[in-house]
Amino acid sequence: MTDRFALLVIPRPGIDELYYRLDEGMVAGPGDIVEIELKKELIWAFVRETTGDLPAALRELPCKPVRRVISDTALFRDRRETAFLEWLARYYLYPFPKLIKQIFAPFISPSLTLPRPTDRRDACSRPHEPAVLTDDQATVTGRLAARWRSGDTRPTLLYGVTGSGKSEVYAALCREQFAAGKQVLYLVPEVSLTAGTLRHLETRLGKKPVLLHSYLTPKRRFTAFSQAQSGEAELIVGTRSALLYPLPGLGLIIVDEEHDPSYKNIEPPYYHARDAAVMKGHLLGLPVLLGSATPSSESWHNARSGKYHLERLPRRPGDRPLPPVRRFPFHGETYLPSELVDAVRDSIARKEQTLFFVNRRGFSTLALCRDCGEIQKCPRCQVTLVYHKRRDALRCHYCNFSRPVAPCAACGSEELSLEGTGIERFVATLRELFPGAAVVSIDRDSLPNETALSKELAAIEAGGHDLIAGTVMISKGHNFPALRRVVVKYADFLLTLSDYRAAERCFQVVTQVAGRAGRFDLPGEVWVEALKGDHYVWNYLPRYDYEGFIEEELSWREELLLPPFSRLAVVKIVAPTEEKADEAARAIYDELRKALAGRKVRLLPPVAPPLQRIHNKHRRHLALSAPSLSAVTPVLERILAAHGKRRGIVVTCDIDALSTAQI
Amino acid sequence: MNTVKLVAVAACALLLLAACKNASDETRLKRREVLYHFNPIAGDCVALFGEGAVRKSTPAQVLADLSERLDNLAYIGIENDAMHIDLPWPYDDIDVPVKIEKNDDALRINGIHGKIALSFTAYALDGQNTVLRLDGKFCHPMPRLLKENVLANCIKNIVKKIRKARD
Repeated sequence: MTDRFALLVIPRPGIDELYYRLDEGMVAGPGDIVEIELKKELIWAFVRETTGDLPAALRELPCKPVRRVISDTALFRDRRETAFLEWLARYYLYPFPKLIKQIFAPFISPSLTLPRPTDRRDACSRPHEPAVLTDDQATVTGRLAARWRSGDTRPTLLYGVTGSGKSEVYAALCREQFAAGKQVLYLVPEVSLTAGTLRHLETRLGKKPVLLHSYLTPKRRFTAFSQAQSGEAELIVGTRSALLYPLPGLGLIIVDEEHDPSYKNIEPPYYHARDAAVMKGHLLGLPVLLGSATPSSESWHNARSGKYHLERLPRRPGDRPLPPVRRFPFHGETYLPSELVDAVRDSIARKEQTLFFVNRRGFSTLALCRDCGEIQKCPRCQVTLVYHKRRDALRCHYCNFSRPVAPCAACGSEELSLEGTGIERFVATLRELFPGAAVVSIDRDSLPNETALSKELAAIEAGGHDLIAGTVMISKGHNFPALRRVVVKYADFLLTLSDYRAAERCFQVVTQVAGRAGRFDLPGEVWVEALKGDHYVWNYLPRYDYEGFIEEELSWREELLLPPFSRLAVVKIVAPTEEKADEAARAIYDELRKALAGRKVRLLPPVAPPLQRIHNKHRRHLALSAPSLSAVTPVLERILAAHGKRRGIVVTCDIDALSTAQI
Repeated sequence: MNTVKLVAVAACALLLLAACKNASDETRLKRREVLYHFNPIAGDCVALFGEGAVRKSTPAQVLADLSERLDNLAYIGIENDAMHIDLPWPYDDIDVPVKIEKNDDALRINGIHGKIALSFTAYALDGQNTVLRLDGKFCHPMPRLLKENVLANCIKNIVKKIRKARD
């Protein structure tokens, strides 16, 4: 007998789930998208489950019919896929209907249709060049494949030094999965990393991967989704949102650069794609492979405690050495030691490249009034405006506010001094120091789209530029054969932040950038500028001693009961005025203090975060940490339900927050 | 008379159905499948019933094998009167003090806070096979499906380990 009723998830605020009738002849199953009438309006809804009968309390009430099924095929036919989304919504304290809406709303047009997938046969086989694996790579690949064949799907952390060929291991494991008729989901932290990854995988596997990320237009994304869903695509490369889509033939999830903070969603739901991938693997019984040259403290801790398997790639192919690291002190914003300048000149003459990592956008990082001393700030956000020479304007990097440099917002003076160095000024300095050299800048302002970025990256790979200056966009995932040298300006700037994760981030960023050098035949070298030369990071970084560093870092964390030895949640309050933000934060704090009294929870009073006003909204944070959040979650759920709906005030909760100092 | 006939037919049908079900479960057990199913119970709890057959063994041997391997079980490991339950990240593993009761017919492991209770019994399936049966309860605020996964993997793993020792 076919089910006569469907429990629908309604993507409308205030309504979660409703039963609708399935008339005779209509076939809809869990995971389908259907059209219904709600309050005289036609809307779409998601079928959570179907049933033969209504719950007793609803039997006497009228039940409206489902008008039609929008999706041709069930999207989430596998109950475990829906269970994964339910887990994600529940764990990260986000309403399930809103999550469903986020996933499907971009696809569904106002006329309540799903776009037709365009016939792009990208996934067909092409000639390819499989790599010859080194002994280390072959051993790791063989061990992983054997383990997975035996049914051991415990997640694995693949720790391999930069340039050790982790991506060759991934490609070999992908081939094994394809041979078994399975799909592979390959997650990358950022869209900017996908171009190089796609090229590499295509070369190695002879298959054009299907790309799935939120920057695609809804139609392209739906096409990719349809190819993935139908099983036509074997390899799906995507950013964190790709994890939310169902893949019926999934056999393996690879999380490349697993340490990267971009895997954490910075708006609700605050899910961490790496952690969610581990959970998806558990629910679906799939292996998950996490790879990094600088694993996150959580993953290292999990590997150390046996929660993950640990595999190592300790050296580069052919025993090529990691590039030696030389430190130089900070002597000014654009300072470079004369020895380095000479070396760069020699390299230019030999057509070798040098990469300068300057992780600051714009020309000057602040504009200071010479008359009243006021630092020019965004009127909408509590942040300093950055001068962009290309546009000759001061800009806010958070709300895109823009204004001419003068006059001073406080006293009207025309005398403003542009201080601090961003990448634009640094590039200008390079052009002065090395006249005639071909300089390219890889940053979001110079290369606003994917096409421009891919073009420049291809030119660098072909040896078309002498000097490359880049922000974090250039720091990982790229292979430049002619790169001789990496120079890291303000290498330990991150250590000046009041964030317990500062040392870990600093070690990761510098190691990743340094790792771009010496990956091919050309020996590499790395120059780093240190502000805080006595920090313990410097005991390990020059030797690339990640294990030594992370062990010391974890010993501190354990002593101070910081993550991963405790769990951190941050309640975020956003209100239209400062008073309202304070009032709401205080009320929530008092409630939490009462509700959590006597439990092993450290609750910190509400504070204004470093960026306390964004888009004219005032923000307050309230952090709590506990050995486990399981007991705290119901309390937080209650708080969100009570405070989340107040007019003008938005209360959200970042579970497993990466930092207490997060923006 | 008709009513009596009807009742008799219905009773026969029920018996037949029950026999079919038993036969089917028995066949599956003989095919070395591990059977399990779950029932949600009050609060954050789920009840598990699971069983799997072990060849060339007697109930006493199976319980003895289990007893010897308590510290080396995937998903749960019991050592020094404490059970360590492996949970997938981002959940932390759980360590629960437990009381273990052993007798000739059963091995019972009870968490001291009543959040977990596992009762292992064994019975002869036929002359060759013994079935290890687990009746369990597990309470935790994690989603039901996760609890079920942990328990299902636990019974599958236990049966596999004992089979390996016996086969």
